[in-house]
Amino acid sequence: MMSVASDDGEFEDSKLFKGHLFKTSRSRLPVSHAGLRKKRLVVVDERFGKVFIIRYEDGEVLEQINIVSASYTMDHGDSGFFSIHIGNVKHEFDAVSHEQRMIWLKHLQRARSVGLLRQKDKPIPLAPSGRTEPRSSLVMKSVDIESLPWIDDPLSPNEIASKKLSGLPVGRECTILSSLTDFENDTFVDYSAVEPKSDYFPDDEGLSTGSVPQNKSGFKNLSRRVRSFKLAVDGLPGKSLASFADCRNCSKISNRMRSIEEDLKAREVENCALRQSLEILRDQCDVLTVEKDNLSHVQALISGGSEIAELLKSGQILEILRAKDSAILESEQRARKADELRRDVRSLQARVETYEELVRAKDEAIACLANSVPLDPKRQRVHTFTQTEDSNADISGIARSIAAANARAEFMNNEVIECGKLLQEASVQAENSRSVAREWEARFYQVQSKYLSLLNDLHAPPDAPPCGGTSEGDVRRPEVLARLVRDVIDSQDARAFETNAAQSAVYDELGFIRQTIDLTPDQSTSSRLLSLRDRADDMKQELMEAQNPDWRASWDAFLMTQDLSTCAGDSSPKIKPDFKNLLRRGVPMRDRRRVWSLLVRSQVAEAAEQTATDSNVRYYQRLLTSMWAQNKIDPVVKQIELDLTRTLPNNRHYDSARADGIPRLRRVLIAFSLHRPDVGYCQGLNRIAAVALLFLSEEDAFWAMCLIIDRLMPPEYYTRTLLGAQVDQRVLKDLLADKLPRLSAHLAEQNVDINLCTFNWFLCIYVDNIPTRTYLRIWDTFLFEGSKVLFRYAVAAFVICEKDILALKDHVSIFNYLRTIGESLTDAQRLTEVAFYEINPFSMKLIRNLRERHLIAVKAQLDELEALRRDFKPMVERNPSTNFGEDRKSDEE
Amino acid sequence: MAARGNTGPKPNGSAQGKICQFKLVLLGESAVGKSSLVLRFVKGQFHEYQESTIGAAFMTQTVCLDDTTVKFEIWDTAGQERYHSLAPMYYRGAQAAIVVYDISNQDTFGRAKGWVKELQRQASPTIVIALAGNKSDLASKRMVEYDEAQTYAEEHGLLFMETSAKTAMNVNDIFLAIAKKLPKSGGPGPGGDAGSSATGRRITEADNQPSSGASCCK
Repeated sequence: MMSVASDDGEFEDSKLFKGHLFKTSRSRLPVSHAGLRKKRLVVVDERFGKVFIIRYEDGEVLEQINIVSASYTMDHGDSGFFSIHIGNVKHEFDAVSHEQRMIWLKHLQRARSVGLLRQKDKPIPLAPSGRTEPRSSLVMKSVDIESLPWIDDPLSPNEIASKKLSGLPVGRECTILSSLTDFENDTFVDYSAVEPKSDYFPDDEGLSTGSVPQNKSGFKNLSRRVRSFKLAVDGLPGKSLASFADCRNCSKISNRMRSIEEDLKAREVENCALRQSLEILRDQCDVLTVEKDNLSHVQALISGGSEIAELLKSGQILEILRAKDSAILESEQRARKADELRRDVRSLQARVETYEELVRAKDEAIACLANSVPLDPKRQRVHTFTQTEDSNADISGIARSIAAANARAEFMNNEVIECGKLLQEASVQAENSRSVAREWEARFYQVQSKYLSLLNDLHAPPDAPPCGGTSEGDVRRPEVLARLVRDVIDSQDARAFETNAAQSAVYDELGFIRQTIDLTPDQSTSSRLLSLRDRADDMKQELMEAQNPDWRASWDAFLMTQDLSTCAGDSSPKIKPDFKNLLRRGVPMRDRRRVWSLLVRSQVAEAAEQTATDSNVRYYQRLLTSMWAQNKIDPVVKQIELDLTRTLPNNRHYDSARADGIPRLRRVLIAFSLHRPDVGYCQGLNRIAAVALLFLSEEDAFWAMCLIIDRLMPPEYYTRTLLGAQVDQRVLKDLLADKLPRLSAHLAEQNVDINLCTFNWFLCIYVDNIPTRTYLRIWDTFLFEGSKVLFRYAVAAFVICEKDILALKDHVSIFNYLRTIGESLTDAQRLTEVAFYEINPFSMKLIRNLRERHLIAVKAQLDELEALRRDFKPMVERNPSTNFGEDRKSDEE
Repeated sequence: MAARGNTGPKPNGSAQGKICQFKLVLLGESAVGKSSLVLRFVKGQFHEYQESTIGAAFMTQTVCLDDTTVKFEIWDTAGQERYHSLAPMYYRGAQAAIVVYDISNQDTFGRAKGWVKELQRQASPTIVIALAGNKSDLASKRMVEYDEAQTYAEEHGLLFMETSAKTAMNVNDIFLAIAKKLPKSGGPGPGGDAGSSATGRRITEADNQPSSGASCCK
């Protein structure tokens, strides 16, 4: 079922990890509940920090989870359940077995840290997108927890709690428990969601307060919880009946019962002793009354007897009376004491009753538990008799669950530590970038203030009197110059610091010079405005790319499936039909290299195979070696050499003879001229090759040229007379007349030919005076859909500019406008929308028909021109001082 | 540059002077410096690595003579041979042409001669042609002698100057010389006519339109 281990090695390079998992919607349900489990192909992609969930049957990407900010939890037990949490969203999976689950989690953790690292490599932390949610609170808290000692305890918090519970006196226990449960609630939110354990401890708290009714309800709760706990622990038959002596919780209760019973016995003993002492006192009391009677009898005798004897004995009697009095007092005291004791006994008896009741309640609860645990009443009966036999099985079951809990605790500890590490790294990085930003800000203000003061000096109105004015100006100028020099020296000192940043400030990521804001006074405000607008458009575009997670996600998914198919040994990647629409939405700058190379390779695969048959050396290499072997200066090569440094001069890869792109551009153009001798080299191809080389390897760029000129463009586009290109210009005019009749009529009225701009657009595939981002969007679709796209964009450009052109009433201003028309095409998104949706219907059939029709006319005219030139060619040849004819011939080959 | 066009015509309709508008085309072999000459003349700039021209480029510049303001519509064409099939579209109806060669490259001079021939046969008969020996700053690599070119120009009735777009030598001068040589007789048609008939014409149209060869506006 799992293909994890087998494929692992193969995917090491591509940072992918895939396998089959069951995606479940509720992990609490028993395994047998197949209705909510779906088998999925799951791919962990380290590069994006994403998990792709793919339908097993047809390979469709159903979901992608960004795990950069995810945390993982696992169920305890031997099952394969685990879940990925992103914010409040929880994705649950079943890896069938515990071992597989641990493998998955290991890879997920690695993917997360790699994904995070990659994310850090990106330059600007732009506004958080919907998908990359802020770190969950789990991670934030886990850092503080990391330092706490129990993290290293292999037991689950639950067990620690119960351990402490049994060891500590009741009063303290409560506070510790509550703090522990709080702890658990805070840190293991997910954990408590899986099993309702966090509520468990407050019951113990209630228990210790000693109030009976509360206890009863507490016991009910307890029994319910114990039941669910048991169910969660082991759903397997045969394990379910616990012997309550062995059960942790029950033993706890019975321990407590025992202690209470002992207490009770002690009280009873005390009670007995008190009773005995009471009886003794009663006896003494009896003795005293007898004595008293005797005395009174003696008194009567005495009073009745002789007075002499009375007188003699009076002293004695007095003494006896005294003694009697004291004895009476004593007995009274004793009686009082006995009363007290009796009261004590009564209260003790009341307490005993309370305890007895408590014990009874506990018995009931235990009985209740015992009744409620087994699902099958019959089995219950059996088990009550065969409790001892079952207890062994139970013990092993409990041991298993403890082991599982241990594993889980270990994993959770790992997870917490991992998250803590990630957070620390992130905060360090944030601090770094903050300090860098501060530094830059400071430098910015310094530079700004310098330049502002300089500007002030330069623009200071010469308000001084005319005689002193000149001299003052003369004095000021050297001062300004000195300051400028100082400035330059300062900036050189700091160069080591800013080389990198300076480069990125001057060139964009493709190596094009950024429009800089020039403060030279002769630069008009409008041109400054223009460059500012360009920057604004650039930034808008970047922002749009960053804020469109859906779009980026669909590209991620697309590239991932392509990777999968190449990994699976599929040499010719198939392109799905919805790819066209995806391309029309534009390719993210970061993916353009891969997408273009995919586009080129998939379309030239056959041609490459055909050319590769006859030898082991690749076709491109063969072309180049044959060129070096020729060893004669070809006029084509000469022309290529002339144009190398005149290609995209605003890009640093081509801006001088020593630039790194020049040799590659030379090789690609030469190889292509040998591949298509009928084309050779046509000015314009240099731009196409240069743009292709910005994104593709040398050989791929060569194949891109082949794809464009051999297949995407109509025949004879770049050949000797540019026949195809001239035909397309007329087709375009017809299409414009159809789509924009007003504009077309206006242009005709002013006798303006739009060729001025559109010819270049078609021949160079818009690598002309159009913003880079715009023509790259055009290339995205062109490389797949072909030359029809060129018409679409041309018409769209005129739709956008129609109003402006209609407002111009003479041909010079229209030509001037057309010359700079590209500058108004900065909004590639809008242009694309118009090109593909607003100007429909746009049928290829119509274009094909128009092409056929114009081809005949253009051919006829070219022939005519040819005849005219042949006509005066003899005149040229008559003059031997020129080699014009020869030159011409060589170009025409 | 859109703004530049507006700076041209200053006074109009008054006795101070008239505004003339001419179409001028640059022809010549690839990489001889056609675009650089135009850039120097129009913007006063020079780029060591000037992007190669595809098709054609359009610019305007105004020069002032004593009492006339001359506005040039400049069509800068691509040099590569295969673009020459487009050239008639640009030189048809032009009142002036600058044929450029590179003094450090003999072949380009030969190619220039070819262009002169073609212009004299195919373009308007009254067209003013100037021959520019560009890159005069590369004197050490000179392959085309000044005298040779001078003689050729005289023979064929051309204006001739050696220029350098890099150092700006003779750049403005050659345009001024052309402006002076162009007929500024108060032609009957308004300037717009001349311009419109001269530009945007297709090569399909017959090229018998010499009427507006040197018209001018007020």
